[in-house]
Amino acid sequence: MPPMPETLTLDRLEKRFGTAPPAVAALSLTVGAGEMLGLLGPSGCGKTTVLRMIAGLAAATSGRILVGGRDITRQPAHGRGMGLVFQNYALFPHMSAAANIAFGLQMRRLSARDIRDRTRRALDLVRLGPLAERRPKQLSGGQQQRVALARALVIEPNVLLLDEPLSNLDATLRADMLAEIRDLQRRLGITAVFVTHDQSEALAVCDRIAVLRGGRLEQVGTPREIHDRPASRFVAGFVGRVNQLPAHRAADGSLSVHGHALPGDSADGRAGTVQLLVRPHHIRLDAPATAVPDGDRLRVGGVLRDRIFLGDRTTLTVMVGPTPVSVEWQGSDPPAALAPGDPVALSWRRTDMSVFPEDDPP
Amino acid sequence: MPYPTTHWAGRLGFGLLVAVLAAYLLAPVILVFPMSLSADTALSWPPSGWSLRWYAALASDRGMVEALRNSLLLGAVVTAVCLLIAVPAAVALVRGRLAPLALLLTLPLLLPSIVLGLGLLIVFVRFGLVGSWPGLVAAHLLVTLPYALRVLETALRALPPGVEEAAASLGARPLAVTLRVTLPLAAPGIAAAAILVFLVSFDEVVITLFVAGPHLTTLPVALYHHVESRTDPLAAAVSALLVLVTLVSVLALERLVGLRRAVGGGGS
Amino acid sequence: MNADEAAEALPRLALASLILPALAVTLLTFLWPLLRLAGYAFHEGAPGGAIGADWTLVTWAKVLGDGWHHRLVLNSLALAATVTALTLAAAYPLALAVHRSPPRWRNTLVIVFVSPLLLSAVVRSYGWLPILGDQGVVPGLLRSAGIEPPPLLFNGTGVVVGLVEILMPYAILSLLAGFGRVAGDLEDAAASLGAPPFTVFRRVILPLSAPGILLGGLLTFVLTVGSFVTPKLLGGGRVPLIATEIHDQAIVTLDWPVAAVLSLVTLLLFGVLLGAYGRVIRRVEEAIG
Repeated sequence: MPPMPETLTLDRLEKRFGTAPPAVAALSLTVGAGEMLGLLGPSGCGKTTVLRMIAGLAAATSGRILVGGRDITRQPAHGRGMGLVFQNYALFPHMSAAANIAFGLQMRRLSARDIRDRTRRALDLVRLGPLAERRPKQLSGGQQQRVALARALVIEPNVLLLDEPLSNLDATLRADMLAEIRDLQRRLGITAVFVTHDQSEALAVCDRIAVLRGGRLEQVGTPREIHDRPASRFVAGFVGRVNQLPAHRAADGSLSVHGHALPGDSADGRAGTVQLLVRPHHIRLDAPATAVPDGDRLRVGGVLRDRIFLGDRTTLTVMVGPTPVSVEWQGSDPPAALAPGDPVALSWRRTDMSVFPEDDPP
Repeated sequence: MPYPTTHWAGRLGFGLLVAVLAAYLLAPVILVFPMSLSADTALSWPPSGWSLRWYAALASDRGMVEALRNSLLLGAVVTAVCLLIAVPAAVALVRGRLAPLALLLTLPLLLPSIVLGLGLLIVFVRFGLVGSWPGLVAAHLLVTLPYALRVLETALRALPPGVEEAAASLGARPLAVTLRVTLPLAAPGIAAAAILVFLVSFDEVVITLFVAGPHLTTLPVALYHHVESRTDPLAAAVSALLVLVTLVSVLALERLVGLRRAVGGGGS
Repeated sequence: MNADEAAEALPRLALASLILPALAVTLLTFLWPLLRLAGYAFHEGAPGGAIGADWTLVTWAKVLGDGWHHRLVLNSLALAATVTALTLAAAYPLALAVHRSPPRWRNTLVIVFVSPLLLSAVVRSYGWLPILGDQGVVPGLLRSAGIEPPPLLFNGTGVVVGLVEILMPYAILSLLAGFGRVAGDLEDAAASLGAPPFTVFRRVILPLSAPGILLGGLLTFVLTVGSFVTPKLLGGGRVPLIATEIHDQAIVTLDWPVAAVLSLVTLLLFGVLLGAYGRVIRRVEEAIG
């Protein structure tokens, strides 16, 4: 339906409110044509401000915004041709679903016939044909969400902007809508920016993710890169669950964790206290006797504290010295013989572990 | 919430007190209705008989009829002009950081009308505006504008968040946003402001007393002069009329936005 | 939405042009007349509503040196104090009753008790004539009880009775706003701790509603000082006040400089009251947290 997708480029984009530290600082990013980029970060990290600047609802203090190479930084919101889906949907309460969708087409002064046809197609696209004449109040949360999506898509936007679009839906609906948004975006081949504070949403639907923190870009990469090779303790802690083990690094690069010596990862880090970050599902748990030595794996000993059965998996908490480490046991039951208080051996692959200096703030 | 007293005597006492005070508050308003149906020539209670003679007298009193006509016309003109001025101003107050201006615009509500009336008289005399339509409209704008702004500001601030931005993102220019989204959604508030403005104008007496003239007066001012000189039930008939207009307006206000929101926490 | 972001939605020029008509009205019908009025206070009155050409303090000296005007100010303050005390006493039980009424009745009660506020003061003052007048309801009741009624109208009594009734809705609104912080469970909590009803009222409800009482008191006081219609109609010319004097000087005597000085004195009184209110309310808010 839409014309050729276009790239969106943010060039040293900055936003300041008064004399406070910048809400968004020197942000440079490129969203490829037809790509879905996630803007991920905790509340107050500036991600919504970035989206509002892209949409033209907030003015950039400095920097440029380019669509397909054209500088649109000074263009008013109504001239940008972007589709925006709001967190609370912001549907016009005094208009029917169809009228909401037709609004943007009317603003473009299309013929009545075109407006009718395209509105109808957009309604069908989000499977709301029978509810066209309902007011937003008469629609469920998921249906309102789909009207908002159709309203943003029907204008064939050059960029689709989604601001926490799922945060007002309950958990089951959220998964369905996530799949639906992803499917529509792919089918239409539209360039999109997806703002969210929920890392699982970002991991699930985005081609690439930009993690923001305090208005600055912390890391940008594919979901797998962000998840498996976090650039900082902050990213590691924010994306997915992670264990943090305090360790000491010697001058030769070798590590020790509560008396367990680990061969060094590399010799480039400084000596001192460091944090080892390992994700729960990367840790293997064995009874000490059955543990098979494996040169590729790092190994520490601990004591099982408790186990929580979660249906498809079991989470076990193991004390390594004073530090609790959670281990995820996928699939079938872990050895039933293991009881709280039993000694266990934990191991993980060297490549599954990240080491950050203590002064890298979490 | 139950009254926490466990003693029935206490409850009864409180209930009686409330009933007496409510009667005190409402008696003068309610009593004008039976009084207006009195057959007597003086105000006495109970009337010696009932009749519609004072309504007939009112209908044939050319001064009162003309004053009523003036009041209705003035109320309509003031309502229209006031909204034309207040709606854009309220939009500006809501969209911009204009707190000092907002204070200035509501200040007339805080000062005694008698002082405002004198000030207007002093200025109007120089320009021959006393007893003229433009003078009356200007004086009533002074009184009604703060009320209109307060109701409209509340209404505009209560708009669902984001809809105006959504319209802009869909390609609507500022004028289209205002006409297609902002104003339709603020319609109940605008209607409430219109009713309140009409009512305030229709009932205004102190300032009008200063700027009305012998040939152009309003119903409350005519009533004031009448009551000042005579005490007959004709005034009761006029009062009953004013009470009815107010009552209808109050009910309409309540339907539209809720009375408490319309009149706010105080101020006169 | 952040205010900074909101301001960006409309350029300054557009904002200015939207608010300009309202500012013009306020300027022409409020600020300018007020300044002219202040100017008149510093001139001498001449016959027929004219004023002398020179700037002078003669009028101030005339007004402030005249015992009659002192009496007017004192009368107004005494009347305002009386009316304020009685209005609060009369409005408090009604406001409490509204606050405690079941939610489905509350709105109706608010309408009934507050809507008289939108009625013309002339009508509401007039309504007392058939009640307090010589042939009216109250004297009739007193006579049937064998009591010879004292004159209730065209004196201070009539003015107080009328003003209290007229100002009650304002006090009720203020008190209701103040009751907002008296949550029902606070009363229940006090009762469950063994406090008898009147103690609950004295120790919990009354202190927490103090801000509402203060606001209602300020409003009632200020409105009484500025009131003019009721003292005229129910006082029958026997209750001289600063507001009625302003009217008479402006309309009957046509001495506008004197009326202007009296107006400025009234505004000064208002300023003092507002300042005092600001100080007291801050203390009260601090005390009740």
